[in-house]
Amino acid sequence: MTEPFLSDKAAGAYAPMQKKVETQSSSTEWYDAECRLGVAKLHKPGAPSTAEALMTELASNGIARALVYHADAVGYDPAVGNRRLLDEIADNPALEPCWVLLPHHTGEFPPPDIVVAQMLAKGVRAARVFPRTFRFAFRLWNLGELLSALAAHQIPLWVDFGHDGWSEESIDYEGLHEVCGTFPALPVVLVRPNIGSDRRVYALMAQHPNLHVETSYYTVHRGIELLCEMFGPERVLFGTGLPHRAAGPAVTALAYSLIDDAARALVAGGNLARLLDLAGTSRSVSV
Amino acid sequence: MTLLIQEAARRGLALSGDSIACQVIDAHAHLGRCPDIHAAHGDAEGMLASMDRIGIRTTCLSSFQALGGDYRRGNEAVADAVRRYPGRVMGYAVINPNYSDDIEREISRCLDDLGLFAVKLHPTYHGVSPDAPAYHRVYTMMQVRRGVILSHTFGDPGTLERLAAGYPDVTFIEAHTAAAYTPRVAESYAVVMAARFNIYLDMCLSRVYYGDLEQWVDAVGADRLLFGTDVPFNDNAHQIGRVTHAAISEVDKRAILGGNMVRIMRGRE
Repeated sequence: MTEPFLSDKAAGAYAPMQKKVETQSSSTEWYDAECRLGVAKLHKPGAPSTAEALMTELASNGIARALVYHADAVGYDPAVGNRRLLDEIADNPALEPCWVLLPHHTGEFPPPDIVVAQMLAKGVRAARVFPRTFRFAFRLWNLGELLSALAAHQIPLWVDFGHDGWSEESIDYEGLHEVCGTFPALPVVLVRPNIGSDRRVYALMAQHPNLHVETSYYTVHRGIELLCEMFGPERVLFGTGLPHRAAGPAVTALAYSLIDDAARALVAGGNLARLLDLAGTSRSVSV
Repeated sequence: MTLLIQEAARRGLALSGDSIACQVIDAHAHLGRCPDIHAAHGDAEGMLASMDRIGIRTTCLSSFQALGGDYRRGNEAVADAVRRYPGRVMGYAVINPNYSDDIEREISRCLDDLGLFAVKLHPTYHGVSPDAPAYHRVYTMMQVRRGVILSHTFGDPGTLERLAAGYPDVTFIEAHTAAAYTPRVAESYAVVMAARFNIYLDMCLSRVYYGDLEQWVDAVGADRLLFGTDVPFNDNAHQIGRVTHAAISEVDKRAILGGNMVRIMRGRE
């Protein structure tokens, strides 16, 4: 048989056809938009659960900072997890807090204006909801007041439908359409769209400039490049999914994406920093 | 200066470049479009652009059309890509067991006339057990040829062990298995692979959980694992990070990324 990939001649005969792109500049700051802190029900050996271990893991992957929510806020009680989050990252300015929120109707959570005031007072500049996990609807009749309060302060909202693997059908695309259209000032970040999502996500992205996507599970071939071409690099946020997922694939998906250096810097961290700045100044950190 | 593979990948440097000089072979890929996903760059040229960027020397692919539609036409499309990009693209012949009369003829046509190098099976897609008589005709033919078969699955580890024992000159590549790690599954394969050296596992899967590859290396050894991407079903730029950033040795990374596939091919010469 022939030995095409054993021979240098074969590679030499091939004229490279890739688009001209630059490797990332050393000044690109990677800022993880999809990260969790704390002890969770599922755990892989060696995976980081403390702030210190998480920072070590991020650094080993060349990531400088991360937006984090707490495992207790999704696996137990948002109020408890949100408090613990602030305690556990208090001395760590590279970890930015994201609170998990619930609708207020049952009395488990304060009214939206109170919650938002608490967030701003504590320097929490991002919110996250888990509609499937906590069994509420990602619709106006269930979340309208809370979303209105967030939108008034442009606090970006991460939306996590709890999907993993091929369960992306659990994403409520109708809800995203309704919410993004009703609150155009509210930055919305869809967490973990995947290879089965594009035909719906593209339609939503085209209609709603406030919709963003996070990349930890976005495994579409050359997908980051396509999203940047279609909708601009400002709409795409790098995330790892740590500590549940390995960080490496998310890093290489962006590092090898066929986009230019300026676009890569936006996706890697510039966009996240910009969205958080919309909501106010960073919390004060005691060091 | 020689860079570590992880550092090169983090900086977006092609792994084939002088700074790292790693031979990367994607053992599991596809050509064309697939109904349930968005694959805008599933043609050979679209694939090669990303291969060049990453530094993937060769991609071994089968046709989506051959899996989901006209297998003959799909296999011919792969042959066309192999002809146009020698050394960069190698082709698997998809055999559809539901067209039982054509099995031997299609294998011969693809491997002898069209220049494809191995066989790809998808028992799940085609709705036929990997232990069915039609598939045993494939195994028999590939035993004579000392060939390579990549399958979406060969069934449970026990079935795979029987096949590997019954067709000892066939190299069996079990797709997707060395991706998500569970101790029970890994232990089952470790036992089988310790006895049968003609079994390899590929690791392509959209999900990449923390530490899984490291545990697979511990379980079956880096010399039995093959880098595969499933591109354009997945992004090859995403899947490469499973290996480049794993907490395993540089030697193990090079074996998985391409060294093992080279050994398989050399063993067939």
